[in-house]
Amino acid sequence: MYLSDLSLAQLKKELQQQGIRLRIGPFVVSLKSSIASVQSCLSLLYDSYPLALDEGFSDFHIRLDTPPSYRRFYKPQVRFYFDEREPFKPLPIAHAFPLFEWGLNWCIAKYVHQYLIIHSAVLEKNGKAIILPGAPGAGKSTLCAAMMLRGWRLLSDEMALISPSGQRVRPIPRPVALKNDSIEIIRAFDKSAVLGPKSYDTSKGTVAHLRPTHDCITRADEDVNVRFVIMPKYQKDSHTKFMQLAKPEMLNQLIRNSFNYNVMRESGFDAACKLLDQSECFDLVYSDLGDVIKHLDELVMF
Amino acid sequence: MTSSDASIPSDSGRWYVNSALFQLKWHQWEEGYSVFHTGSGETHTLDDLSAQCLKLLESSPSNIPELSAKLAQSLSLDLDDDLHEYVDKILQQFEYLGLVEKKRVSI
Amino acid sequence: MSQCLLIDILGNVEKLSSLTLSQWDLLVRQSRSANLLGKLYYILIEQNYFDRIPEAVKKHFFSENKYFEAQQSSIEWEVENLKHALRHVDTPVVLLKGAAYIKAKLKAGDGRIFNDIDILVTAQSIEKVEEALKKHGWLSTHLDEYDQKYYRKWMHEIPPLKHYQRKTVLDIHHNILPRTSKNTPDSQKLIDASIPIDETGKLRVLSDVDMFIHSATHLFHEGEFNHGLRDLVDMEQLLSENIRTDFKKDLFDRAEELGLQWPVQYAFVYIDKILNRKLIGDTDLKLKKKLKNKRGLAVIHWVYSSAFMSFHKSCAKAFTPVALWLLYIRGHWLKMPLYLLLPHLFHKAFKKDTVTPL
Repeated sequence: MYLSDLSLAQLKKELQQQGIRLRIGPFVVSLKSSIASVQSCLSLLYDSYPLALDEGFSDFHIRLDTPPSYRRFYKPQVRFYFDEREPFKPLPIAHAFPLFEWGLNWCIAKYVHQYLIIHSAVLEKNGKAIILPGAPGAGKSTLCAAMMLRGWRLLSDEMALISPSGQRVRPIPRPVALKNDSIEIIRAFDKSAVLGPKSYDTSKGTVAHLRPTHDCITRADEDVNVRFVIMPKYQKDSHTKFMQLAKPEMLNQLIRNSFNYNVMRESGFDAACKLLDQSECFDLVYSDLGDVIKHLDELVMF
Repeated sequence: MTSSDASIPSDSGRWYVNSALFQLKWHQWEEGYSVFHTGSGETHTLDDLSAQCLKLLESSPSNIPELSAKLAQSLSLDLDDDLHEYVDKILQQFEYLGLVEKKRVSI
Repeated sequence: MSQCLLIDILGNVEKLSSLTLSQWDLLVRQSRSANLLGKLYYILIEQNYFDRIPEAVKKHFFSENKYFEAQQSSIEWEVENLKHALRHVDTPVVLLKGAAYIKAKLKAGDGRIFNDIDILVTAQSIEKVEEALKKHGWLSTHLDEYDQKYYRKWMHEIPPLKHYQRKTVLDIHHNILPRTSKNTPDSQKLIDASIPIDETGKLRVLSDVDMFIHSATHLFHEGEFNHGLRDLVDMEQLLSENIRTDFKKDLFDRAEELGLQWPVQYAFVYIDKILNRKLIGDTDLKLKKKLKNKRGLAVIHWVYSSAFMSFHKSCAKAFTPVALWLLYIRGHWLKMPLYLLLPHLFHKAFKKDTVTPL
């Protein structure tokens, strides 16, 4: 059964009462919320996700609600509860859905240590995955969104879950978080793109989420070999250019961009080294989305 | 870790990879080495020369003259003042990073 | 089984074999809240049960253990750095609590997650200790003048130090109870009885009886109970490891010598009550008589039972917030006389909240 099998009214009721249990990649997330924007964004962006009906075990228990106080009426806020504890400060209610996304990222980064987790996008084509570690502001999310709309399978826009052997990466497809200008860039890039509503004035500016393509969700159990690790950088008016990057330098980048290297320690070092042993590493500069994707298509063709 | 033990004159102590409880995990690349220290949890990038220095110390503790001699022999380098100076400086850097420590030789 | 599944399981480990998936869900959540998920992993291994638990559940224990192992490595490194920094200061360095259990390889250390390292040094050496640590990169955390005075004048520790590079936190004690407490024990006695754990003799841990007394004293003097159940489990594990026949007698004798009988008595009562053990035997007539005659015992039981079960919403009883508030006040009252307590509470209530957002 999928989220889309529930009518909006039914979904709202369940989210408000006993909650729903959603299968997101390798995790089962138990979710409750009485906030309308959260309910409608879930309905739009998570429609193809399977519901976990039979199992009684959830990996994370999340609730997003407005506190029962005067704040309900004056500058209302949203609170994020992880098993009824609040790890963050409340945010304005207009940021409720982004808070769910960030909160779920936090849960994974904090409590999942059977993988080495790198802050990066991961996409696959022809059985080969590319990891794109994320320097903030480098345009990673825009590129990731565009690649997905051009037939690449999204494994994640935010975190690469790398197996201890270093060779495979596990999918955890989620809506792609787009910020500021990239929202309209992606809308123009592909008219079929399904985007959630914009949230203004968040700590990252204006944010909207792009629904993952159907293929990404149906194949969410298929992990894949990593073949390329590429640091992308959008540079206005530049030509698409790949520059080979030394592996020790790329290792430093992976460590710098890791959420849990300090927990994984030696096993993280092993996994990252083995990953790089089997991959080619590049810096990538580009300005034209269509052109850079064409080059990336060629990279994985053989 | 900041400065070496002030009570040991600089030529009478032996340098050790720090220490019995911890190990170095190496990975070799075309372009050099990465090393993970199980004590500090830190990862460092080393070129061939500094990596060889650390590996020699790992196999047996040495003072500066001894280490310079071993280094010169293993990489066919001239055993001169420049090499001694290099070894001195690299050991200070390794100490700062918590990779090595100096101990008084007990006779 | 009761709602408080975790306490049920800690009291009757064989019940693990009959849990449904939803019960595992609740158990993992309760354990995580109680900071006992790591310890429960070791209990599962010891019971040869880990391989039989559902796959969906295993990964949470695995992850928690990975975190514990990373912490263990970090403690080893921190202690090495501490030894180096304090090598010229004339005081033994006695590790306390979590760091002690881990370095002394005690069962109480298995899977135990904690944040700071606590050490006990001689009162006379405190200034030199602080000076030496500052030269090696540890910085003072509480920079508010009031907090500095509070710690140095009244408490049994100096303000926590944080290493500028490693971000680890060090709590340096010169006693196990504040100076202002009624029952401040003679800390030199504790140091004299301490046991070396390295070849130099500099690094030490408390003796087996003192370790238990310290844990009990700390727990029952504290005003905050978020780790109450974990501390109770620590003590139960310290006891079960100490199987020498004279241990119980030595423990009570030492407690009397240090003037800390009541925390030890309370520890026995609540290990029995909450963790379903039988520490207080038929031969402990003196203790049983004392407990029977204690006034307001029902209230005390209600307050502490509520506190030990307060770690998760699913276990909390009615009026738990009241019980916790009473213990909070009592915790402070035990630390300092009223003429100091009132201004202190007043100051704390009106101090600006400086918690930074995540």
